[in-house]
Amino acid sequence: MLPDRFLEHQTEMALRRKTIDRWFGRLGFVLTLSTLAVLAVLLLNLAANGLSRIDWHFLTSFPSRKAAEAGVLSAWVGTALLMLVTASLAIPLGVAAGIYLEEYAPKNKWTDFVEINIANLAGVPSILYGLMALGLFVYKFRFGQSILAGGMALGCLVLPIVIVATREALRTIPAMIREAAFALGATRWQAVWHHLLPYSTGGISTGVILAMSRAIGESSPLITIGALTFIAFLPPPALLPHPPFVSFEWIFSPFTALPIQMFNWVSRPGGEFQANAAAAGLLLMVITLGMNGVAIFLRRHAQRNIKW
Amino acid sequence: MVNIQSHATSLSGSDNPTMNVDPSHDNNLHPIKVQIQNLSFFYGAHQVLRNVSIDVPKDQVTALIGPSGCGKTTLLRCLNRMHDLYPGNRYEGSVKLQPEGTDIIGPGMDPIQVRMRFGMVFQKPNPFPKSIYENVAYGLRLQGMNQRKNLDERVEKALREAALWEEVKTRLHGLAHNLSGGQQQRLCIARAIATDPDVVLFDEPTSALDPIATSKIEELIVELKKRVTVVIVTHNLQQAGRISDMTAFMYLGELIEFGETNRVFTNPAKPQTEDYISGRFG
Amino acid sequence: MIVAIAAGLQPKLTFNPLDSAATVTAFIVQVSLGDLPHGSIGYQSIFAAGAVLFLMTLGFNLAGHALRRRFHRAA
Repeated sequence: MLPDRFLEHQTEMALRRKTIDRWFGRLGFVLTLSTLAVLAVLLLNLAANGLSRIDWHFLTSFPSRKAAEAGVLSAWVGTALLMLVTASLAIPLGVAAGIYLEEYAPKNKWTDFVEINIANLAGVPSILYGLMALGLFVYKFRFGQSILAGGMALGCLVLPIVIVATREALRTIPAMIREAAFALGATRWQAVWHHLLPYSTGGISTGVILAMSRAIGESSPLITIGALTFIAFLPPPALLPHPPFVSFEWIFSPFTALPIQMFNWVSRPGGEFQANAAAAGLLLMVITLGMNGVAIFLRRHAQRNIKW
Repeated sequence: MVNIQSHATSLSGSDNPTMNVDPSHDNNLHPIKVQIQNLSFFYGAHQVLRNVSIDVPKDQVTALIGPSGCGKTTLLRCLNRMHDLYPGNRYEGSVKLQPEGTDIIGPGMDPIQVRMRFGMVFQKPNPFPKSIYENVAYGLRLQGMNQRKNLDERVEKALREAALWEEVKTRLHGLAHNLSGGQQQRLCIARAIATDPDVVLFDEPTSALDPIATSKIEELIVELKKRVTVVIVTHNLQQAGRISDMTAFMYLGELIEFGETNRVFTNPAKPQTEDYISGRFG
Repeated sequence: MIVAIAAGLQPKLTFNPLDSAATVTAFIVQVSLGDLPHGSIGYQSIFAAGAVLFLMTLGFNLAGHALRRRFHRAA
């Protein structure tokens, strides 16, 4: 028989451990909630200041010197077109590079070097991409201060995100599935196209949406290349009523974007434009949250039949 | 397009080389299907297989047995050149596919062409996360078969030969993952035999399955050998005894003994073989 | 950019965390908002500032990489 003192001591210790465990759980819960609280405060702040400004007029008017008449038409159209160019650059290049690095590249010093560089590029401040775009795309390649230059700058900015997401998604596919495909006589490309890409679509699309969410909020690279803040016109339309029916003139047009318009309104002295800035910010938040929602949906849909 | 002769159902003809009469294995009237001669395999600087020579007979089940690390799985994966998927491998010697006599590991031999002549079934059932039909059809699609009617016929034939048809015929387009473990493994067997390979390689196919599923697959393998040559790696000595015709015992990368299963189990020629079979080590 | 707005955009050299100051990024943004002909002094100075920023970032990244490598080995 164990002495009673010993049993008492054990019970005391067990009780203390359980208490610490419970309190840590509670602390973790509170901290997690606080991150949600930050998001809530952000949204509520924007809404409180800007919700009243959002109406059809606001969404369809150009900026103006009078705060009450100013709108975000040129800004959100600019943002949308910019995202189009960014996506068409970053997605094919990023996914292809990710596939190459993960499936084809031999493991040697050169590939190590490339990997380190991609990690570095992911950490470079976005304004440096703007500087590069200014020197290279705007002047050297003579694209001018256009949607093309801006889209390419943002495309380069988010390229590392897409590459890393693609590689991570490919890595989750078990080796046995690859071996099964190869054992049947598939070439590397056939294995990638028939199996690896389809099974990693969920992870890749999540990465793509994360990249686009990052790109949509970036203003410093765009300011650097000269995205003007008082744009009272829209880029030329892409669809024409006469042959050749499609025009790419809009790619070379000057533009503005939502974050730039916000920055411009926020930096004005006096408070009349603060409500506009908040409204534009609210719009940006809604678009970003919407994109993330789409990402979650796409991921669920793609992963529903994938079980290892 | 497959540019080496595809498998034809041949009778044991006079143009096939017969086995060498050699004191290390017994006489067997089946012609040789795979002639492994002085095969050594290096992974980087490390030698994994040492000078292995085995004559695998056609339309028979050859078992590779031995303790962990003896090289039996490595040997199996040399046959369909799976090692080529990873860097740092080197083969020495020759592995000739009869009756053509093509050296599978010769220079200039395309591993992909080799893999199309072999089928492989892995230790853990690994069907693709696709439908049952698409799993079986994939090998056929790789070989260029696209016509729905042809695919339907071949898929059914493969599923029947794998003793799975009756259980899945009403849900061919359902997901492979909804099958039980034993059914998934039979699906993997169907997938491997759908393309009519010359040889089917089994890498411990029942080690992850329960006894009932195991015996179903063992019956299946005994049926299969009427049409294809089978090489099976197994940890389970009783299984080797039950279903194989020839047995090769390996230890530390070397072939210790190779002969008719009954003879190897009841009257082993080498002391190490006897020790392993009687359970003195393993 | 967050810092550009929150820190106050004052070109001061100060170690006092409670003072307004500018970051490299904010400096580049301010200059870019003005007129910037190709090849002018302003144009060249933002690139110089960018180069400094890049070297600092590279230094941090390499240090981080080396640290990670050291901990990997230890583990």
